[in-house]
Amino acid sequence: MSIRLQQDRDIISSSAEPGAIGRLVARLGVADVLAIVVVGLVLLSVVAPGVLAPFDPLEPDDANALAAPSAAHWFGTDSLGRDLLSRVIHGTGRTLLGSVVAVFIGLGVGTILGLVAATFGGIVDAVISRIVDVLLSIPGLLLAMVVVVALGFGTLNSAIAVGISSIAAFTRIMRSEVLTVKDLPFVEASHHLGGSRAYVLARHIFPNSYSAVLSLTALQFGLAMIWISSLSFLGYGAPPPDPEWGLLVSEGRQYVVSSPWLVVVPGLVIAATVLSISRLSQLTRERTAA
Amino acid sequence: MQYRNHVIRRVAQALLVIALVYTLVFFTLFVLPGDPIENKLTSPINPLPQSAAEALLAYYNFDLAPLQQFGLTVSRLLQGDLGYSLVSGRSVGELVAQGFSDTIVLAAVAFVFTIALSLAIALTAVYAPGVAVRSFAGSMPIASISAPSFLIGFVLLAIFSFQLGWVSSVRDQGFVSYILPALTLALAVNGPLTQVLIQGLRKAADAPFVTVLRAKGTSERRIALGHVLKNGAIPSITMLALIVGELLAGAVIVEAVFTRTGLGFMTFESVRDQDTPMILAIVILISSVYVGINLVTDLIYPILDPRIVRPARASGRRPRAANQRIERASTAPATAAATPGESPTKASVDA
Amino acid sequence: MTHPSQQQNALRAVTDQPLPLVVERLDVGYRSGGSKRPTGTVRDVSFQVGRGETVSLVGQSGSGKSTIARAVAGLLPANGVVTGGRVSVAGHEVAGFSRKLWRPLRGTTLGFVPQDPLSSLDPLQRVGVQIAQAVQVAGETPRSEVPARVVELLEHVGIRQAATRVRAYPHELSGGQLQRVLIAIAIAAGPKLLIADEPTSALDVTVQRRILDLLDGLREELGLGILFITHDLALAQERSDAIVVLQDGDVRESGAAEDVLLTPKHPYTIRLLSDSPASSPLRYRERIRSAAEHLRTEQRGETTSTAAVVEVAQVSKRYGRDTQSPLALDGASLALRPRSIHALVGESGSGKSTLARIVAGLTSFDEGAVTVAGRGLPRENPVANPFARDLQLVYQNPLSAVDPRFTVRQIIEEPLRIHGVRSAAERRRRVATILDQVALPTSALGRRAREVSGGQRQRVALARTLILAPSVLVLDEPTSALDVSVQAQIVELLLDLRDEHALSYLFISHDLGLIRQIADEVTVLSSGRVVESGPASAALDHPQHEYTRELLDAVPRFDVARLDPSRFEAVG
Repeated sequence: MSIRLQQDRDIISSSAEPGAIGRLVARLGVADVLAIVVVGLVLLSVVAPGVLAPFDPLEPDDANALAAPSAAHWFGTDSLGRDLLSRVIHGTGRTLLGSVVAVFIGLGVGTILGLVAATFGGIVDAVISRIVDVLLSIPGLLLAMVVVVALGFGTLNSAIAVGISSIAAFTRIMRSEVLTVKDLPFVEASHHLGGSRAYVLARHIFPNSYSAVLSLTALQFGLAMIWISSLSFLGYGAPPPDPEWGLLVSEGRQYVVSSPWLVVVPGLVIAATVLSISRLSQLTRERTAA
Repeated sequence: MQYRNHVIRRVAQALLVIALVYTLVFFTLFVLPGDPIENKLTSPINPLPQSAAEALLAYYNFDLAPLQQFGLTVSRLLQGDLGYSLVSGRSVGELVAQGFSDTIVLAAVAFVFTIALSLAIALTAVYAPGVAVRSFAGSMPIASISAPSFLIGFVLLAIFSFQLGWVSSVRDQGFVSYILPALTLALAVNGPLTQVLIQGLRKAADAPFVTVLRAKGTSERRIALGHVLKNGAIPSITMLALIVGELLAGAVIVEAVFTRTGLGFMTFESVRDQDTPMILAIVILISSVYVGINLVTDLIYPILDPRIVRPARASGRRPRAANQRIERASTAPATAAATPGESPTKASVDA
Repeated sequence: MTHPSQQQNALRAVTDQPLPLVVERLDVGYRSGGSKRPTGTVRDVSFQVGRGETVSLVGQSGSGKSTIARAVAGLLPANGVVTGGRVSVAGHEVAGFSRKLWRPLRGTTLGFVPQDPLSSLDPLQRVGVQIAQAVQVAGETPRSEVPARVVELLEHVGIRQAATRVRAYPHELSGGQLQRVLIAIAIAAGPKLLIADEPTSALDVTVQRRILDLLDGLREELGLGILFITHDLALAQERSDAIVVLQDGDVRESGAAEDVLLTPKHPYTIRLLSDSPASSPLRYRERIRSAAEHLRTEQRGETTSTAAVVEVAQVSKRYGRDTQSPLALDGASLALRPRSIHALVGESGSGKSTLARIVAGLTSFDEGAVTVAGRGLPRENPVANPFARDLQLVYQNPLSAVDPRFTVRQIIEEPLRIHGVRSAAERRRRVATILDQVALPTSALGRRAREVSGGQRQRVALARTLILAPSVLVLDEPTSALDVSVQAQIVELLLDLRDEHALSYLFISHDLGLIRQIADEVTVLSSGRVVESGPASAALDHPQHEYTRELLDAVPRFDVARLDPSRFEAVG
């Protein structure tokens, strides 16, 4: 009992003091700072790839083909002598934009379906839930491939496919969150104070269930990135020669024995980006929770 | 008696889901983009000889309305006829069976690796001495989710095949050849399972019954392995079907990386060539496995957790609490993701 | 320490056995965050427990009583450390023992009875197996005899049909039965000392009584020493030989139970006694009586009748569609007179919460009629409460009843927004007024409910309901989660508010002491039926129904006649 009380006190003191943001910055760990730097660089690559990239991403340089990472070429060069770092930087926009499109579709459609299912219940809920069951019973990547076959290959189509295959996850979490929140005492209390159905839905149920959905969003964003690059790794996404992260890995495959950096470096860039985004989302969640 | 009805109902539900998957995929593939099969077969670059192409055109009856085509395909399916590949002209059933026989071994090995890895990481994250070790292990799931499987595959390949030369990257070495791809799959897929396991163990380790066990003199080892692990692992059982589904789907990437010729490679080829009968068969196969395992875990859940009262034995005492447990158990992965700073969901497994 | 009674010394001299427990100058702290040095939570605590003796550690939450119990039992959480002093359990010096060093002493020297029986057994194992583990710890019982010994233990702790009960899973037993199983586990290996950490706080009062009787019986029979942790002074008085009063980790007063409670010396003990309903049943008597008289004269003068503000007539309710399931409410009736406090009493499952929710319009009912302020309540309620301005429910747990995203200001303002008070200035004015009435500081407005103390949360909840100016409050155990001192403050506030706003309260509680203090009328529910109803003094002093008598008997009571009430009034 005394332990719980102590924790209560900690919470009170930590949030009551002013300058919470300043203290948060001071509390950042090395990993947090790294994550912020990575996400910053990624965003800069999207907005102004020309500023960061040391070379033209499409300019071949026969004399320098398959050069290992060096001071001149940090990430090395590919089989045509193109600078890999520049290609990674110029490819950022495509990959990231694709993920944004995918998450937008999944989040938008999924949230609405989940909210509708949980709010109306009955037959509406049954139908939506069965659809979600069906969609969830096909592993996401496989579902994305089916949709890509239907839509045709390409960056945008693979982004849409990934978006569609993430709808079910968003629907399910939104539905279960709304159902959970709906039964919480404070929702009943608000009705008891005279709050109408619409008022309580907008003021209490939606905001309280949405935070969980938002935390899924960060995760799903990273996931979309991996799926999209997986699709282009398999050759269903962006067509060459324009750089895209998964495509870079795919192009480097032939040379994996002699020049492993061609696959490892773009792969690590993807991993680092996804990791940093999830780290940041965790950080913002901690702050809102404090 | 009621339990039997419950089983029958669940089996019927599972069959319904499979039928709906089939319908959904059929119409997505066959109907939405015009007539892909016809386009494909009549295309001049199709590798099939003219005569074979014409035979297939006749087999698939494209002049029929979509619904009639669907009826025809379903009636053939019920007779065990899955159709023919548009690329090779060979029987889809034979091709898929051949690919599956290889990939199921890979998936089984990978499944064992995944469970072992998840248990090892989760136990380390909860019980290892030293805060640094625990928090490192605790951050493994998110790292696993963030790493694309092709990266893991190429790194393992670069280290163990090219650098150390322990495993050949081309020659078939029997079981040894399964190890690296299976490890790749396990590393890529374990994240969500590990996450749920860590949460379950942490929650169980903090439960009041642990204090009572300690007070009556049970050894720490027995508390951890005999009580906390059992209680903490129960929520993660609902994730097993998911894991198997992800392993089978993940084979597409992993078989491409390790140049294997299983179901994954066939999927890759069929999608590339838009070989729709093949894709349909593969999707149905994998989702049937998923639905089947889900069904089994659902049905054995009451045996593992006595609190879940089987419908037949539901007594007057606390029936509501028991129902809540079932509800909670079946939504475990979803709600887990809902809690801040915690587990990824079903969707996140698909990495 | 001062206490050990002379009999105890005599006993020790004869048997020459070490005392079950000696604690000397014990310091305990917790390491938090990254800091190496633990912050002290318990300082300089000394006491001892003799054979066949019960010593109670009494204090409110945060007093360190549970920390002491856990330190003595070697069950501190990983970040807890004994930083000083000595603890001797049956002659073994155990202060600073690691878990490994503790193991051989477990069960055989010390048994532990936890606070929450429902979650204190492994849910996946049959109770028999769990008791068998405890039997085998001592290593004296041959393997073949273990099952018989388990059954014997279960019978010993008063579980009927023990031979079949050993195969039950924990979820198949009731709270009281589980606590008996836990006691069986605690005594299985023949300990010298039993540590009971609020063993009955999760149980109904009649069950509590039976469990404590069991513990007392075992103590005498086995010569156990019992260290009993409780927040309930009356319970401590009734059950223990010696009492240690704790506050913020320091011992305020200790000694023989009689001495500490009948002639308290420390101001803190005196305050506790004054705030605890059981020891000062007459605390509000004057206020209650004057309010009642005031009301009577007023009503005589006016033409308005003494019609009830809430009238419940023959209300029945069954959950679910199964007609076999028992009725949650079976023809219950009550009438809440204006400006009175009507207490609704019963144990868990009695239907008191269901009735409260029906009156509040939150639960539908099958038969009967409910009238609030002259208007009939529909049996099925619309989603938005149309009676919000007449009647409000105050929830048992204020924290769960408010949106976690809202600040205190938003919480209190919400009813105004719902009821269309658009002007921000007007809302601010009314929030300021109500804040003043419930004695909340303005500084609380910017915080969230979880960031303020338990007492303040309940004030926030009251402010929110009162801002609509209802005439009736249904209070669902509004103080059950609070310490007695905070409870006393909230009760004072409720009485003040009633006088100021002419409110009527339907007060749901299981605390008969509190009800005796404040209620004008009492309705006792059992299994959905009203078994007793009438003026508080009559119902509580001369109960007509068997059940009411049993309930009243089970309540630990101070021998009030021996307490000098005048001493407490100065503090109160």
